Amino acid sequence: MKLLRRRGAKAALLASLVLLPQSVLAGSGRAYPSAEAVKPLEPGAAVPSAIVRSIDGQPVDLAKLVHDEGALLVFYRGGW
Amino acid sequence: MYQELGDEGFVPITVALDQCADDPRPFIEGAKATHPSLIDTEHRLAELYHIVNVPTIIWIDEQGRICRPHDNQFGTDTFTQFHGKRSGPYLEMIRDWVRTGAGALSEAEVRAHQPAPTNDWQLARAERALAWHLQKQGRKDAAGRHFDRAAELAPLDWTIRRGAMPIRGQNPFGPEFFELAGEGMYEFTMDAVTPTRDAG
Repeated sequence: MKLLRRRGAKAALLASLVLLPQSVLAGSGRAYPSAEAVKPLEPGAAVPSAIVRSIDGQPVDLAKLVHDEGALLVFYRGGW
Repeated sequence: MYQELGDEGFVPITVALDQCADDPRPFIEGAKATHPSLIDTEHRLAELYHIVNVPTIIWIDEQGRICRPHDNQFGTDTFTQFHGKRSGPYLEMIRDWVRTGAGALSEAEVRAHQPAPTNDWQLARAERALAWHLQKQGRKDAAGRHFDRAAELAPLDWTIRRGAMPIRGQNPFGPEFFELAGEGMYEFTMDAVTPTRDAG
């Protein structure tokens, strides 16, 4: 049985936007496209497009891993 | 759990907050993982989801939105004696969620329990990103200064502080860690909601 569908939450503004200089790098040595892009996910927002790596070093877009099904995001550490 | 529930509309996505793929590789290969296993060396997802320690588990609904926010829970009982939480009740909650939808919170509840960073916390992430960039450039002294500044701005963020220990040549299970642990830990409000602690 599929997970029960839920209505999307309305987005709320976070007051924590911080402007960063372009010299602060993110991703694979690339700057953020804009200062406005440097912010956490807002409540109610869907999984964003964000590139990380697979164990084989291949780029993976988080948004493309979630396809109309329930998902667990499990954050952990291997080396600390 | 993926093998058990994968055909019922469920996927676990694991994200290792490490400096390279070799750090979590023994766990991923040892588990013969077939689910998406990601490595977030730049803390991009940690920043987006305000991850401050591990393990942190977030439930995502079919629309891609958080339906049960940040929870410090465990898939095994290896360290139950240390943190007092049992994995069995939590794994059963996940099964119920996938099969019946139970356990997903309302919009208001998600909003109430989803942690948000302060400005200082965001600055700490910027300092950490700069430190990591400098470290990779071989500028270890400069990197150390920015790791220190990040720690001052977000003293309870173990992804920044403990995560930086092996990068800085420190033992994340050594004296520096126990000193950090003595300062206290950030606790999610979900900790009081999810019934995985032993009674009493």
